[in-house]
Amino acid sequence: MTCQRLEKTIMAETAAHRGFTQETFDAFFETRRHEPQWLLDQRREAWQLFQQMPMPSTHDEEWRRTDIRLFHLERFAPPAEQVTEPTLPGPLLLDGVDVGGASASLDSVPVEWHLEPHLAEQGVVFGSLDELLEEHDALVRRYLWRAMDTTYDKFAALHAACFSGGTLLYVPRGVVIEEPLHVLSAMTAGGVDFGHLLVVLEEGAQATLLSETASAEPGTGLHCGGVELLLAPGARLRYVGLQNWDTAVWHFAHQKAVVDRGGRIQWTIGALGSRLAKVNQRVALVGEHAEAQVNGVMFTEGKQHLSYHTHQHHEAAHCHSDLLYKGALTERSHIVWRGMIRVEPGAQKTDAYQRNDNLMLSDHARADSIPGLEIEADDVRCTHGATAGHVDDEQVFYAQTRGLTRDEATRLIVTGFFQQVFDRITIESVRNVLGEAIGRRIRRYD
Amino acid sequence: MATDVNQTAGHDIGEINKYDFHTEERYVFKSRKGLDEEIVRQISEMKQEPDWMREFRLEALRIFESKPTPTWGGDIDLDFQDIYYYIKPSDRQGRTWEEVPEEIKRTFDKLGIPEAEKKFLAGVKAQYESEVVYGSLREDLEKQGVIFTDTDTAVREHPELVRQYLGTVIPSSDNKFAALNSAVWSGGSFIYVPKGVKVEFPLQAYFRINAENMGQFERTLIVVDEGAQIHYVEGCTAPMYSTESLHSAVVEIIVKKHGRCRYTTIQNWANNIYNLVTKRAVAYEGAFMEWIDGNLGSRLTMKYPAVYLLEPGARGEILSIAFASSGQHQDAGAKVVHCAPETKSRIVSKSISKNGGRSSYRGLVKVEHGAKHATSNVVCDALILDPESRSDTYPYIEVEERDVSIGHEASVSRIGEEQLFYLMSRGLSEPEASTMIVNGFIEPLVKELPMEYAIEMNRLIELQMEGSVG
Repeated sequence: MTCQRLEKTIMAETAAHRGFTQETFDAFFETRRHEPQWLLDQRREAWQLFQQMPMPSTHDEEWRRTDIRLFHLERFAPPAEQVTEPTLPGPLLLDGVDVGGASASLDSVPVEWHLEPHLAEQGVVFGSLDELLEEHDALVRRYLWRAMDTTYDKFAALHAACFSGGTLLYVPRGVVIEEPLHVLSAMTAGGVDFGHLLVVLEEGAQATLLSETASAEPGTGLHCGGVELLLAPGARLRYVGLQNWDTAVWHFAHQKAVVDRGGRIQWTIGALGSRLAKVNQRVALVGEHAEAQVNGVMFTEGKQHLSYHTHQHHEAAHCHSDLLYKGALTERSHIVWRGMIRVEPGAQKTDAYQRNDNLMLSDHARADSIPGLEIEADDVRCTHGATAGHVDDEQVFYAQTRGLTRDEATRLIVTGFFQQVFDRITIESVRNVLGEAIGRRIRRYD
Repeated sequence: MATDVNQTAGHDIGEINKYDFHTEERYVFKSRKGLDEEIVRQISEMKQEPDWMREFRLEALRIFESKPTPTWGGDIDLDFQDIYYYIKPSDRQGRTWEEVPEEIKRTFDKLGIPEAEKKFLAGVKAQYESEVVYGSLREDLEKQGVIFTDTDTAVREHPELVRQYLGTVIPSSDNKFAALNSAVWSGGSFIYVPKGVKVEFPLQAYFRINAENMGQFERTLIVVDEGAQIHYVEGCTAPMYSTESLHSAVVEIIVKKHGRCRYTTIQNWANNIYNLVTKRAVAYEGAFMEWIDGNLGSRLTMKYPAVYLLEPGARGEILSIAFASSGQHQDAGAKVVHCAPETKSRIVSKSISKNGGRSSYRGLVKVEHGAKHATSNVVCDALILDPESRSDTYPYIEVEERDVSIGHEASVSRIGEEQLFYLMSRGLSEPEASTMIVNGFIEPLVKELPMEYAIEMNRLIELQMEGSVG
C-alpha cells in the first residue's frame, strides 16, 4: 500500500509537461477556448500577474509562520480537460441527508451534478460552473470576482488564471431552499483542484450549502481554490466547508463572503486534512444589520501545518459578527490562527467578537494564536479572547475514579472541548461528521 | 548670568503645556547634523572611550546602515541625516544641584526634580540632551556597594561589569533602532545592586530633550544580583518644536536568582518626538521583573517592554498604559517569553484614544518547548472617546508546549452612556464624569505607581481630558 502510494506520487510528480510554464498554461488555455472572451481575457491577465508576482516567503509577515520552501509548484500542472475512470470518495456530509442538488468534480474536472426539478422551476441555478457558464454568461460575469481579490497574492492570481471544475449556486429573490445542496471536490494522487465556488443569494433568498474537499486516494496534490459567497439584503446562507484532504496535500485558498443589509451568514469550517494549509477566510458586512457567525473546528496530527487567517470586516453600522475557532493539536502538528476584526469609520454600533481556543494534546505541537482588532469608530463593542490549555490530569483522574479508562477520559474531555462550537452548528449531519472524524483521530492517537 | 526660558506658543492639541518651554542653548559641544563613521568616532573620542567601546559603536553603525526601517507599527518619517546625534551641555556632572549650570538647573527645578529628590528618592540622575548633568545616590546605599551612575562613567570606572553585560540582553543586531543606539549612545543609567541588597526607595532618572532636531540615545543597564531588589523610575519630557526629534533608548536589565526589579516609565514627550525604544529584561530562577510603562506623549511611540523568563519560577509582569490624542500614535505593548518551567506572566494594557489619536497594543506571549506549567494571562482594554480616534490590538500568542495555561482577553469600547448619566445625575459635569471614568479605567495601573507619580498621572489625565466630551 505504502509502496504503491509512493510509486504513484513519484509517477505523478515526474510526468512530462508538468509545472506552470507558458507551455502548460497555453495548453490549458486551448481547452478553455469555448469560454466567453471576457473570461479568457481575465485568465490571461491573471496569468501575467501570476508570473510577475513572487512566491510568498517567510519574509512576508503573513507567511512568517508558514514555510512553503518544500512546496514545489513545478511538480503540479494546470487541470486537464478530462479524467479517466473517475472514482469519487464517498461523501461524508450526506449521511441521512436529503439533498436538493449535488455537484461533484475530480481533479478540477466536473464529473456529475443534478438539481431537484422543483428548485430549477423556481429559477435556482446550481451545478458545474464550467457547464453553466455558456447559458448564464451574464450572471457569472456580473458576480465573478466580486468578493475575491485576484491580485492578493500569487496563489490568488494562479487560481484566477486556472480555475476549473467549480460550482455555481444562484438563488433568485425570495426563494427559500429547504434541502441542503452538496458539493464534492476530489483529487487523485498528484492531482490538482482549482475549484471555484460562486454563490449568489438574491434578496431574501435562503440556502444551505455543504461543501467537502477530499482525496480520492492517498497521496500528494495541490488545491488552489477560491470561494465567493454573495448575500443580497435579507438573504440567509448556511455554508459548511469540510476540508478533509489527504495529509500530503498542499492547500491554498481564498474565501470571502459579502453580506448586505440584514443578511445573515453562518459559516462553518472543518479543517482536518492537508499537509500544509494556508487559507484566508474573510467576511465583509457591507449593509446595516448584517450578521455573520463563523465557526472553525481544527484537528491536526503528524506534521500537519494549518494556517487560517480570518477577517471580520465591519463596513456598515449596526452589524454583528461572532467568530469561534477551536483547535486540538496532536503529535508535531502546528496551527496558526490569525484573526482580525476591522471596523471602518462610521460603522457605529458594531458588535464584534472573536475567540480562539487551542487544546494542546502533545508536547511537540505548536499553536500560534494572533487575534487582532483595528477599530476606527467609537460606539462599538469589540472583544476577543484566546486560550491555550491542555487536558487536565485532575479531570482525567476524576473520570478514572468514575470507572473510565484513561483513553476514554481523554476522548471525553476533547469532545467536551469542541462541544461549544458543535452547539452552534445547527446541521446535525455536519455535527456528526465532525464529531466522528475527531473521535476517530483521538482513538488513533491517544 | 542671564537666562532665557521661553514658553513656546501653546499648540492647540491638548498636550500638557507645563513641559513646553525651552532653554537657550549654551552647549560645550554640539556635533554637526547627520550620522556617519566620523560622527561615531567623534562621540567616542569626546568620551575618551577605550578601543573596545569604539569598535562596539562602529560595528553597530554598520548594522544600522544594513537594516531597513521597519514598515510595521507606525509611520516613521525621519531623515536620519537631519538630526544632531550628540550635544554635550556641560563639561562636568554635578554632585549637588549648585554645581549644575544655572539654566539647566532651572529647567529641572521647573520639572520638580530636586524637590522630589528631597522627598522620596534614594538617588537621581538628570540627563540633559546627551549627557547626565546631575547625579546623586544616598550614602548608605553607596556603602552597601550599590552603583548608580551614568553609563559613560560606568564604562570608565566599572569596565569589567559593563563589558560583561552590555549588549547581552539586546544585541546591536536586534533591530535597527537598537543598532542606532549602540552606535551613538550617550548617557543613561548604570545600576548594580549587590547580592541581597534591597533598595527601598526608588532611584530616578529624568531625561530632558531641549534642542530642536536632537536625538537622545541613552543606554541604561541594570544588574540586580541574587536576592537584591530595586525600583527604578524614569520620566521624560521635551518642548514642542515644529520639526521632529528622536528618542531611541536601549534598556537592558538582568535580574538574577530571586532578585526583584520594578521599572517605571512615565513618558510625556512633546508631540513631535519619535520615541522608538527597545527595553528588555531577563529573569533568572525565582526572579521577578515588572515593567510599568506609561505613554502619554510623543508623536509616535514604538515600545514593547519585554521579559525573558529564563529559569524555573521566574515571573514577569507588564502594566502598560497609553493615551493617544490628536497627532499621536502610541504603538505600545509587551513581550513575554517563557523559556523555563513554572514561569508566570501577566500583562495588563489600558489604552485611551481621543481627538483622532491612535493607540495600538502589540504584544507577544511565547511559550517555548519544555516550559511546562507556564501560565500567562493577558488583558487588554481600550477606550475610544470619539469617532475620529482609532484603537488596534495585535496580540501574538505562540505556544510550543502542551502543559500550559494561557489566556488572553481584549475589549474595545467607549464610555458607557449609563455610567455618564449616573455620574451626571450626581451633579458632575460631563467632562468631570468622563475624566472620572477614565481615571477609574486606568486605576489598576496608577495604583502601582509611587504616590507622587500617581497624583501626577491623574493630573495629566485630567489635563489630557480637558475639553473632551465622552
